[in-house]
Amino acid sequence: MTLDRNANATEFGWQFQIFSGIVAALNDINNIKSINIEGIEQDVELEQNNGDKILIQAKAYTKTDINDTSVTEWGEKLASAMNGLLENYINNKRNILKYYVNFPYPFGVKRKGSKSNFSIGDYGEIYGTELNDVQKEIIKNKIIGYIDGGKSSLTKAQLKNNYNDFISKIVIRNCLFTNFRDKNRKYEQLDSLIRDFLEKNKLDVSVKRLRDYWIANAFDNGSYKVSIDRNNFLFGIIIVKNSFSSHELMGRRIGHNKVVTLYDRFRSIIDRTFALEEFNRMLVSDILKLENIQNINEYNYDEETVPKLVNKIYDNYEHYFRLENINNAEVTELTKYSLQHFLLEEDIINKLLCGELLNAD
Amino acid sequence: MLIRKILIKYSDTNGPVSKSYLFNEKINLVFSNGNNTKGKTSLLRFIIWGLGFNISLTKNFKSAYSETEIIIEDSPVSKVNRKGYNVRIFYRDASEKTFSVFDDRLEIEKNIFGRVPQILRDQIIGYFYFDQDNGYRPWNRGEVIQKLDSKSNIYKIDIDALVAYFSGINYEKFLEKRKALKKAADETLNITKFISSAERTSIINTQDKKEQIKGISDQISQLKIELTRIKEKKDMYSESIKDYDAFNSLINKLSIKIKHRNEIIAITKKNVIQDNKLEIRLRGYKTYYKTLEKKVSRRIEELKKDRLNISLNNSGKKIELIKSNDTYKEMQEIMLSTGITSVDSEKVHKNVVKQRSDYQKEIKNKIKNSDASNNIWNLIVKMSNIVGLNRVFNNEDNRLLSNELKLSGAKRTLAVIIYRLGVLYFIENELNIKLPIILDSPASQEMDQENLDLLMVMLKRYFNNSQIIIATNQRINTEYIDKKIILDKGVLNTI
Repeated sequence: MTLDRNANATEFGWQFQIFSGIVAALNDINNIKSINIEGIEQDVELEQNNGDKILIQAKAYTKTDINDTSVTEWGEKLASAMNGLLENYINNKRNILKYYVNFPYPFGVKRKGSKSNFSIGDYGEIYGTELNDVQKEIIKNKIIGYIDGGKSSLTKAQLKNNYNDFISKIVIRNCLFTNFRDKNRKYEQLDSLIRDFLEKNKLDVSVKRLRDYWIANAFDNGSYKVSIDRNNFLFGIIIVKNSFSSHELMGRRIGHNKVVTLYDRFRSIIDRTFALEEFNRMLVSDILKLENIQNINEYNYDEETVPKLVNKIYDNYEHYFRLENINNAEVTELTKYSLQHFLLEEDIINKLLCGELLNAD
Repeated sequence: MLIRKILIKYSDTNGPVSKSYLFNEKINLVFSNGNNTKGKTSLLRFIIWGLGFNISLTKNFKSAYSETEIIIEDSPVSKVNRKGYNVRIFYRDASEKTFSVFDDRLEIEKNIFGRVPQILRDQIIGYFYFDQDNGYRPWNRGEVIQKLDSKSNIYKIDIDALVAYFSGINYEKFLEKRKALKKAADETLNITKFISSAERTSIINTQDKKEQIKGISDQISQLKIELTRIKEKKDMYSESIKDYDAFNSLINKLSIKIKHRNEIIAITKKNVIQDNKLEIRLRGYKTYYKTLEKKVSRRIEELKKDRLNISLNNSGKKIELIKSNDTYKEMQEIMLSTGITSVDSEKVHKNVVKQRSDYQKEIKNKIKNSDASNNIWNLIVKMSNIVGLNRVFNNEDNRLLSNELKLSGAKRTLAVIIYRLGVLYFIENELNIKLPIILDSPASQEMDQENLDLLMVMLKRYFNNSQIIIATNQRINTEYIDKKIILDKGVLNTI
């Protein structure tokens, strides 16, 4: 997807689905097993640990002039979304049903009462129980219109019997996501959500790089049917944390020549070493012994004590990092850096994959 | 100037014939008793022809066989004798000069219309002589005499030049400068076209393409190296995953037991010390490198396509055409080597075009707002009141220079006559001259007797001291007519 122009309707719709998937995942990170874009039942589907699903209808307005007068197709979008969700609901009453829209008045113009609980800037979710009667009536009429127009597989009896329960189950989110050319402007709300998530969980990772990674790599496999499991999704954080910029190595900035001669070799030796079972088993034993813990999942990275730990063990590991044409001091430095880096990664993995995480909002 | 008499001699294979006509100094009616083709137009054409204008006679008369003698009063010229294409002018001081109508056209006009300045001589005929058909069509610009053969001159009226003269504007200089600017505009446009075509050729020229292809090839090579590294890493993680899986399944298979103190412990995947998240890590990295591999591969394919496209365009036919014409190509290269771009030259072109249009506007405005323009228009408006055209011409809207006269039929004819006579009246007053007014068959232009009468009233009022020769079939109230010339056997009595 190009950076220098607004996305076309298809691209933007796709981007909004990914946006919705990420938002929903970060808001329910401990309960989800996988994220599916263009799922079987809905635009965005999140599988929960208990087997039920979070189903999201994601409807986006492509133009940049979003306001209550410009977005005239709100009615059609609301009708199609609510009809789809009601069909899902009748099928499986345990699923969570959500409607994500990127324009500020999901119920049309201000006079209909939309303004009272949906306003620009708030990205929280509104539950069906919080909707006012006018809004509930609008939803009902829209679904009836859909049934009358022959666009729905539902009957009016089904609507009547299920409507009240359905309304209490649905969730509506007004997302700030506009088709701006500038990526930072476009993803401003997603970025702040990701920032919240990272800060709450004390993860020190670049927000923009993580957002770009999730959008461009995690969900881009060249086709438009994408599913990613929770671990792979969260592993993006480790990848971003771990992807050294080519000017930084061992915690300091290095010159161009040194990058050319050493960087690639260091990177591949570190990668290869980390991939070794032998190396891993040895290091885990050392950590269990020196940190006096029963299980590696209990390990906590502590900036103050880590150097001491590394100093105690590094000479057993130096042989993994011995390259030609670098001197002993450099080998030591590389070994220490790599161990420290490994311990940090271990800590992050523990946080991300073994413990409870805090939701973004 | 007054035409007193014309003697026409005609000598073809039928032998010589001659006839003379006398004219009154007031209103002369040339009349053929309601019949057409009896020689009215021929007679008027003989007069104009005989004054030395380079026009043809009517179709029955050939210039080569014709001779006229016109006796003139109220002018330094006393007689004009034309024979074929030669004109002899006799002066009151008994001197005489001979001219050729082809070579000395302007000289002849100068002698006949002494006080009329040169710039107006060619168009003055349009204001006193109304030719049968063409004479009533143009109102302020264009051809006024029907050109019946290729040797004749084209006589055009041009109100802009006329008003310019009386406003002290150097119209010839204006025409010259406008022409020069037009030439400059054309030339700069052409050079702009040439440079931009040279630039286009240069962009698609082979040397540049080679560079482009080289650049893309370099990019592809770099990406290929990157791709190899990515693949290595992906394979490395794949291998590790295999080892990890193999190790764990082997532990299962071997059912290793160890004795620790007094306890027998079965070694399982769970109690072997190892990083239980290693699998997640390995798979995570593998997925990452797999995605990267796809992306880089896709980028390489795109670049390969670009490279192919560029090399295909390279063999386009256009290049071949230019190649075969080396001097043209050389010229293009020389042009480009000057460093003048099509943008520069277009700027110059636009500048010239603007200069031209500004200059033209400036002069046109000067002409339009001049006193002469207003005075002439006021005269026309006054005259038009007499003939009932006050709705068409009025003081509020000076239409002297307007391109269009949105009228048709008799009204149009009347309006054209009034307009041109208004100009004539102005010229005569300004230059203190008098010219005979010669109207050939105004009634053939849908004019009825009523309109013709109105015209006569106007002529009486404004041109009371002018000689008027009017040819028509229409009956005219005799009170307007001072002399009647009846033609019923042709201009030479030969019918």
